[in-house]
Amino acid sequence: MDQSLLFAPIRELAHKIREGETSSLSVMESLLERINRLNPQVQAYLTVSQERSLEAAQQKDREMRAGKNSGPLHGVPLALKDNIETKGLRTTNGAKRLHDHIPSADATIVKKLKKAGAIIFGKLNMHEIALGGTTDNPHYGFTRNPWDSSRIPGGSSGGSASAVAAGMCPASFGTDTAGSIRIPAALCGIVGLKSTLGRVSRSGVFLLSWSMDCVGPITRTVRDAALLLEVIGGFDPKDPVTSRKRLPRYTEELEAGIKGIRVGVCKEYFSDLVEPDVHRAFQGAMTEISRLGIDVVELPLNLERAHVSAAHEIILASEAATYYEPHLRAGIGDFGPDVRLRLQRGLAIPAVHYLKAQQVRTVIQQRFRDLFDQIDVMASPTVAVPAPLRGQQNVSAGGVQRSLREALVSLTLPVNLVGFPAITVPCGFSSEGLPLGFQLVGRPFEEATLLRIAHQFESATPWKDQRPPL
Amino acid sequence: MSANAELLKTIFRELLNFDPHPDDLETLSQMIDTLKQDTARLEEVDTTGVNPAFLSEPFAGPRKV
Repeated sequence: MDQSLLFAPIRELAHKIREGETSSLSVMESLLERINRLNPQVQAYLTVSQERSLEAAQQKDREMRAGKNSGPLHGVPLALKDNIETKGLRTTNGAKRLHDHIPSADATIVKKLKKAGAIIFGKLNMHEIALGGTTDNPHYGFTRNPWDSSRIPGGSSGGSASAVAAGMCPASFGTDTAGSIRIPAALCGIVGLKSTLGRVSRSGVFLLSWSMDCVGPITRTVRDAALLLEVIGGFDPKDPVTSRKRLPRYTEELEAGIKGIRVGVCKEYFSDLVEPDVHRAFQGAMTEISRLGIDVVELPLNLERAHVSAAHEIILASEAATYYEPHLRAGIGDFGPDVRLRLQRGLAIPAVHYLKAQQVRTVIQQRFRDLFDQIDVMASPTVAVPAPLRGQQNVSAGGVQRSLREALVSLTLPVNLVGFPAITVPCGFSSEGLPLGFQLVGRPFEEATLLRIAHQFESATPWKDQRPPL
Repeated sequence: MSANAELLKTIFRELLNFDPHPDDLETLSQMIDTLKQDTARLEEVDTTGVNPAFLSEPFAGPRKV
């Protein structure tokens, strides 16, 4: 197979399979060869179903020859973060006690992907139980950033982003509670979409926070993210948070006009936090989207970062501790030290503080609504720093030493707190050659606007064609 | 073991019927201090009459009681 297809968008792969220009089997064989060669170094995959996926690819090719096209992803191989349950395929949630867990049913999104013709062939490493941003998993190993193997890929969906960036997977899925899709996508130089809370079902996904978790695609192009959201989105009676709102045809709206859209930049919220390279790349992105006809305006968010992060941390810690309390009681020694500490801390949060945090959340959500009365979309850098080194506890961000966590999640977690949709798109490189991204945040259920701007920005810039040196 | 760690162990045991991991008690007692700081920051926000978020359907909008 043409090796460039390993970096092809899934839309192109699906087209070539459909037109007989390549076969699902050929794509799968090339992918497995690359994974077998690179995974010992990158450590993105925890499980690869080699024989079963080759058989599935042959079956898809037979179906195609017989004129049976099962959908827009017919014969396309995809891999998932390992907290998404896959029938008959090991799902560890990055946890020691689930080392041998073989689910008996697929998560709702897996059912939808299979129905659209995808072959789910592998499961990707993650920060233990998705509670952390390094993907340095004490039980399953450290996933490396393909741009620099001494650096973290971000997390918690680090394996998902690393595999896509490294050409070891056409596209993948992650989950996002504080930025776990957007952070690794940005640090690995690709696209990550966190949809509105309620747009995508979490049924069959190991949760961390009932009120903030979202599932979403990690892709090389915005168009692929749009296509995958079309496939996985929509109401699911098994997840009461999902909405009955109509699911738009996102791919059909990508080329629609963007002139006159107002994008707000709340500089006072992040300008003291971000590294100069990040600021420079973000400014470049704003110049480019202005050139595309978008009105970029500066305005205040009227929020203190400390209030936002305090509310987020108390809600996340409380909900995660509630979800994992039985596991803590059954085997506290099964958790790695960082996750164990955060879960135990969550147990110590009184209910009154949890509810106070939820009240503060309402206030913060109202501030966001007020902001979006004046603008259509908000923009900011995705992460304050380029990918940090493995083992770094503190990083310099905005000229100040900050905790790794603060540097990673400060710009992404407000969006989880309010439940709005957001997308990260590559926008340049640091002086050390590390990829950088910026995020666009939209009103609830207005993913189409984000995808349109992101797609047209991506088309006008060279960043999506850059490849890591592997 | 520090007095704070001892106290924490007792609180966990009496209130939650839970024994924290023995390696974590000192660090956990320090982390509780950061929790107190977080809570103090939340107290700075006026939430009089504000309903907690996301306890029913998302995006129903802010509600006052």
